[in-house]
Amino acid sequence: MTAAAVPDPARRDWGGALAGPAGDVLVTRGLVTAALREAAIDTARLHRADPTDALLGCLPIGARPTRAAIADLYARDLGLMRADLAVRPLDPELFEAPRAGFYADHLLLPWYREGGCPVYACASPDAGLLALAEELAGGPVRLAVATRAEIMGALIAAASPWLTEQARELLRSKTPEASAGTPAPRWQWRTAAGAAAVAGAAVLIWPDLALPASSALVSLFYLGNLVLRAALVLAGRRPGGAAPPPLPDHALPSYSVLVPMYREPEVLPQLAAGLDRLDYPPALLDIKLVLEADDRETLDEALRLGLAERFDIVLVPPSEPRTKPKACNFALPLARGERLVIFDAEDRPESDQLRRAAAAFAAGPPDLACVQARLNFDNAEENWLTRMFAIDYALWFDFLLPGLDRLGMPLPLGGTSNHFRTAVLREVLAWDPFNVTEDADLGLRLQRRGYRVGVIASTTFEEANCEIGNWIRQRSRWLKGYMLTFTVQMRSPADLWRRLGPLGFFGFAFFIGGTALSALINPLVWGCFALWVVAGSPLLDPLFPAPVLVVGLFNWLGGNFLYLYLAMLAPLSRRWFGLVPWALTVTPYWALVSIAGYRALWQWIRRPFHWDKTRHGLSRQLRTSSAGTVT
Amino acid sequence: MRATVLRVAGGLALASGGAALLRGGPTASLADLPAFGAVLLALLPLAGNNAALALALPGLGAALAEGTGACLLALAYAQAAAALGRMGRQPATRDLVTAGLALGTLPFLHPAGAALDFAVLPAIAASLPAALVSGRGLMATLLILGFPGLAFAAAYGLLASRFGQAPGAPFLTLAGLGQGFDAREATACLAGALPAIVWLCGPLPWRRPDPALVAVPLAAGLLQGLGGGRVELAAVLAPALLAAARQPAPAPQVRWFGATLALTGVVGAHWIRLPWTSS
Repeated sequence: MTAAAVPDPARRDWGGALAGPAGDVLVTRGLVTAALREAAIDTARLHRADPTDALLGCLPIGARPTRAAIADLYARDLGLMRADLAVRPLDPELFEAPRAGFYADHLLLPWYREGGCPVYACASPDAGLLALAEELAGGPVRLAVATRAEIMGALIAAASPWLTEQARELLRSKTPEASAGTPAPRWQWRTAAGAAAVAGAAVLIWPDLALPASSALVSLFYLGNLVLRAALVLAGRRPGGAAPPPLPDHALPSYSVLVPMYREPEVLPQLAAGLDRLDYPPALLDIKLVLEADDRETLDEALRLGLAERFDIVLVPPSEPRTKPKACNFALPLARGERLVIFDAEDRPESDQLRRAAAAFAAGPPDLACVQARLNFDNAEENWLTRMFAIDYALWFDFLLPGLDRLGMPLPLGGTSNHFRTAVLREVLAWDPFNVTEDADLGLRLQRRGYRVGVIASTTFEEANCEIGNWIRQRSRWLKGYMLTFTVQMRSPADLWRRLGPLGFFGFAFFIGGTALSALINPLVWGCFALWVVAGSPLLDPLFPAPVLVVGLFNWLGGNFLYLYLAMLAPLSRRWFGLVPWALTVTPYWALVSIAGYRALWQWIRRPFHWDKTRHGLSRQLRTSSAGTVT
Repeated sequence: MRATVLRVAGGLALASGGAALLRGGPTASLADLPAFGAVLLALLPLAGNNAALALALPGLGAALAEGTGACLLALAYAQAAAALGRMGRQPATRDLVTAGLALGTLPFLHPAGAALDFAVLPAIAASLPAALVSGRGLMATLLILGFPGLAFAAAYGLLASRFGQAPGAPFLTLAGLGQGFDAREATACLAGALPAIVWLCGPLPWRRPDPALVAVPLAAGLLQGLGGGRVELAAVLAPALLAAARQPAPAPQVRWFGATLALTGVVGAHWIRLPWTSS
């Protein structure tokens, strides 16, 4: 189905409903004061927001009338029909799924025909919206009134097949080579098989040559990794420029916030509290909780908490692959913000994060497509694992990512708190639904298309994984995603080299490929080292000619020193003094990473698109602290 | 005019050191290239600052005459002192790392390095903000400052043992234990230094990082000498003067202290033979 031309909404007076009879109704009935009405009209016009949304945004959460009460008043006092979209479904003859974004922007939905005249459901009726509906229908229409939640619910239900198709297939159909859902090209298989065969044959026929050569390759790999990380740390610690000045309210862009969730009812109260704390004009906010349609427990809890009044609830129908990027793709056409951010359910972003990101985009170059906020844990001291995880994250976000940013290397995004220019996100066909680290993949695709990805000095707090099994599942998904991303991006290495440049290419190879590969070969190297210490050098001497031995020893001594020292510095730079001594126990954590690496390898072969869901809400500390959260 | 006088005086002091080094014969020219490199590196941040140059050059000249070890010792200590001094004004992880790496390498550069490491402990307490030398911060700071030295020593020991060398002895010799700074003095230093840290870590109004860091080489020389070891005047003068010169805005007392040290040092180097020195 293709959409007809979308009517030009530029003529719409966004404050029209409140400035007209609908606003009179609210004041007459005592639901709002005249002053509040004026403020809401100004807000709606300034931010091009739905007037009812603007009105509610001017009131504190506890003092807001319900949307149903407002819709009832509009219908009764303006003589309009009160639409019951749950009873009568949308007429497929009138409804055009590709216009879903337009319907969502204006909260205007073609409903059914009554005596040949189309009836459109809307949230804030006025003459301007009626004109827009008539332009859509190509003739006279009637307006009916519904709440935002009713309109969005009916819209999503009717557009589900189209949205699902878009979510699953858009990237794969338009740029198949960029999707992990497309089988790897033959040359990749042939190269891998050929290399394995040559290596095997060489070991059998010329072991004296092949084994030292393999140890030399491994040594060079570690040396490259070591040099890259040292360079990133040095570059990342250089003082950056000052944060851009915050934008005044009238210059702020509209912002969509997508929160994909699955079976996480227990974190909803703290999520809602975190979202309510966002310091951003409510009229500019478009918050969507993206739930799986068969996840009744989370949906019921969201309804019980009354979240449908404040946020859009997007229900994604079950379909394969059941991944977070597919859910985000599903919701993307409905997003109305000029900027868009992804948060995880357990996230607690700093309240000014959206303002900081908006300022970064405004001050940055036009090709700045995405900025990544730092992630941090607030249950870091819960147990050994959370301590290690916190050190890991501090190193990643405070040392390595800023280094990649400063050196102009591809920046693999983290799964949450990525802020985008929505138009660019749509242009690059959004996330790959078949990739389980869709964030890292998207960051690379953006940079391949000539866009920049940056970092901002704002933090999102989340729950550190505090159970080893859960942690291994999460880490193995990340490593599997890196394997997928590496092989997908390397389908055309020459093109990648041309677009990223040599520095970017090697940065990508060592940072994405190297992270996964080192998790796999670390145990082999540790085994070799243990053998060397126990059995003495003669046994392994043939493997290590003098130059290889020198490089290998340098890697081993320098690498262990660097990584241990960085593990101490990372918490120190966040003033987590209590975590610094724990860095001395990081070696078993590296062993866990290797276990996750082998699990990732197994899954990459057997179930490449399987999304190993990380369970949240396991932290006792956070459960205790959020026990009193009131929404 | 004053600037010219200062530059000429400093240049002469440095040149006399260089000449003394070259008197070692043709072999000295190549083997002591690191010494010249270290001197140049030490001078770079002082370029254009006449007062700082005047403070630093006599010590560097003496170090140059002494050879590579003393020059590198001076350079590494100056790095540590400058970083710790900056930490006193505005704490930054980068400075703590610089100090840690510099202090960690000191024992490998010169026998006086280990004594400097011990003597610097109270100065650290006097330099760093209270948050970094008390409570949980103390352990974190000691780890960041001490880990490089321990790691270098462990790596050295491991390599020595795997390649048929005595793992402890060479390091211990380098560290100065064979030079008179033995375990007894080390224990005494630690016993004195650790309470000093605890005492100094509070927000004392008279905390003065710069004089403390300038005084450290004197204390280190004293420790080594009292232990019966050989004290090279250059190992005391050069680090102290360079540390004084590297302070971005030396307080008047630091400047006077440094100038006095320079004068007495140059005079002492020529006329006075300390009872415990063998040079």
